[in-house]
Amino acid sequence: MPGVSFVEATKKFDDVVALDRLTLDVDDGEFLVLVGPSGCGKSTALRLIAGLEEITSGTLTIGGDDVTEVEPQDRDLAMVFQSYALYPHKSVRQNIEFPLKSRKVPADERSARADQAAALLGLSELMDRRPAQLSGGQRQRVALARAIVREPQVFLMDEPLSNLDAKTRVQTRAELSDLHATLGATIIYVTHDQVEAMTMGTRIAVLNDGRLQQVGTPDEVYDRPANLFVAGFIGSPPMNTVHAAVERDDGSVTARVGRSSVPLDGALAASVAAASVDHVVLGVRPEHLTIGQGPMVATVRNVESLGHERHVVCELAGGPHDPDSSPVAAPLLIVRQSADDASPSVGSTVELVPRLDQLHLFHPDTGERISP
Amino acid sequence: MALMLLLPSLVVFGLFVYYPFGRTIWLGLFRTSPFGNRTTYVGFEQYADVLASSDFHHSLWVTLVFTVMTVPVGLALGLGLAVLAHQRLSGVGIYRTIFSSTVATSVAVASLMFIALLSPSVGLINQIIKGFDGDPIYFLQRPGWALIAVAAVTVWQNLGVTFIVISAGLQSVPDDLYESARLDGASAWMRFVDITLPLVSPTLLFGFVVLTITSFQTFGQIDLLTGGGPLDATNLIVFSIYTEAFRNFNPGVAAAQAVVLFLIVLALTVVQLKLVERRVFYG
Repeated sequence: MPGVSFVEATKKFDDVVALDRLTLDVDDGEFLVLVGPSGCGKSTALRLIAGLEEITSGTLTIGGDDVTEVEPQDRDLAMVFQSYALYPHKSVRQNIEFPLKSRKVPADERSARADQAAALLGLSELMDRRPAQLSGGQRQRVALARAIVREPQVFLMDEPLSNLDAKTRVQTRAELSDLHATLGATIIYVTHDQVEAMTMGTRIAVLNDGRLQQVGTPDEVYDRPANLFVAGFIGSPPMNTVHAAVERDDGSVTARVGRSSVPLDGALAASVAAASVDHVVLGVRPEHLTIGQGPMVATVRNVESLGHERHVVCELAGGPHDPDSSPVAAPLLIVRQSADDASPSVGSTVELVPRLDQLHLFHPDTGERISP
Repeated sequence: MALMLLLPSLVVFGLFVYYPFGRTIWLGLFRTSPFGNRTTYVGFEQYADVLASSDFHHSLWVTLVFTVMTVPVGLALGLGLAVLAHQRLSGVGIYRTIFSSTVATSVAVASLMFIALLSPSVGLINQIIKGFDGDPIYFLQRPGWALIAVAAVTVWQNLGVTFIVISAGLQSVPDDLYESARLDGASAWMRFVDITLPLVSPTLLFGFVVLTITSFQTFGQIDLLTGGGPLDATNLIVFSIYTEAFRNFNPGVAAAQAVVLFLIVLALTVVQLKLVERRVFYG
């Protein structure tokens, strides 16, 4: 099965740029997740692949063929809509058979293939029902069955889990991953939920304001975010980022935030030197901060218990180094603690210990990553 | 309290609907003098006379033919125009306005317009026919043509309402169903037959019933275009009732005809709903 490639693809709605010079390759058999906040252009990108919108400039290829001018029905792909778009007047069987009927597949074969798809998704008992008689999860599976019955080259999924309750969502997430493994098909999946992106995608493409921010495996994107947007968007709670001044003394380099001073190791110091900046945005994931004896002094503002873990919200003493140019509003840091750790009391002063090998540095003006 | 709230509409309905209706049934039980006064009580004999009358049968037949001519064509045209105007094209709003404009045209204006259009000597249509070396057609003066001409005017007159009602029905069909169908490979015709038609079927049933009732009640265009002629070719039932009451001064007979008409339309509507409703998808 072939992949999908955008080359410098731009989509404008009148003067609004929904997608800005997107260049992205989706490999054959890949489960690529397009993720980003509302209005970032991810659904537009999907609709461009489907052919439901026309590209303003640039090209789109599927399996190496330029499909910019090809009609949706000739692109050999199936789409699962956020609303499922099931035909309300047709039974489950008629819904699943519809793509085959449209393509003049003989009735016997239609029925056999619909049965097969239904069996794969556990719908065999529901074939005579109408969509209105199904639960959200069942409707979702009918939409999936309708997509897979035709065995298309590429599956497009537009937030297919967003209308499901939390429990069904987790279950369906696993089912979709299994389905991808079974079919080996190329799946392009749109979501605003970074948990879905992290758990399902073989690769993630993060979009913001119509621009591609980063593409990579979930681990790459999580461990080495390309810029401050990705750092803040992927991960829950998000990465802590604070504005810091770079201080050099006797060959050692530190990042100073208020009264706190964090030593930067050789590689980080070299990256600061290479970027030739005297300020940086220092990033550290909540799980890479612990409360103990360390270089950062903070006051506990809030403690949120989630049962299995605890989020301790701390405010750094001395405030941000340079509030006017700081991209972060308040120097609040979140510490992710195990539920077994001792909980600090609100209002107490604590010292925070960052894992020095897990620090991220970003350019203070552009927000781009400067650390290796 | 409930009765107090209902009272205004009860008074209006009572005065303008129920009382005249009861009075009509009552009037149908009497023979009347040439001056319209009630004279002899004859009971249901007059109703039996009406049912046996060949004139009444003729009117009923003409009305049925007229209904068959106007309702399916009117619905099909309304649906066709509504589907065309539902496309996302620039300037489509202008067409929507044009297609719905007959709503704002009264029967009198429409009739006068068509008298001019259909005139054998100066009418535009006959000018075009003459342009192709054809003989002028006496649309409103020949029994073979008159009913067709009046039906055409009626279809045109009703088109605005039909278009608006079906357009409203189309608005309620979600766009993503069409998008999904396109990706599923459905042709434009399949999308129309498999998605549009079933999902606007409640609107079409409504249009079917209402258009049938209005065509049974047609009066204005007959009065203005043909006066029921030539040779009773366009003597639709309501016009026949009017002639009986106000030209032949037989209000008793007219009342009996009106009651029979009411029963026929009632029965027809019930049959339509029962027969067609099974094929309608209400969501």
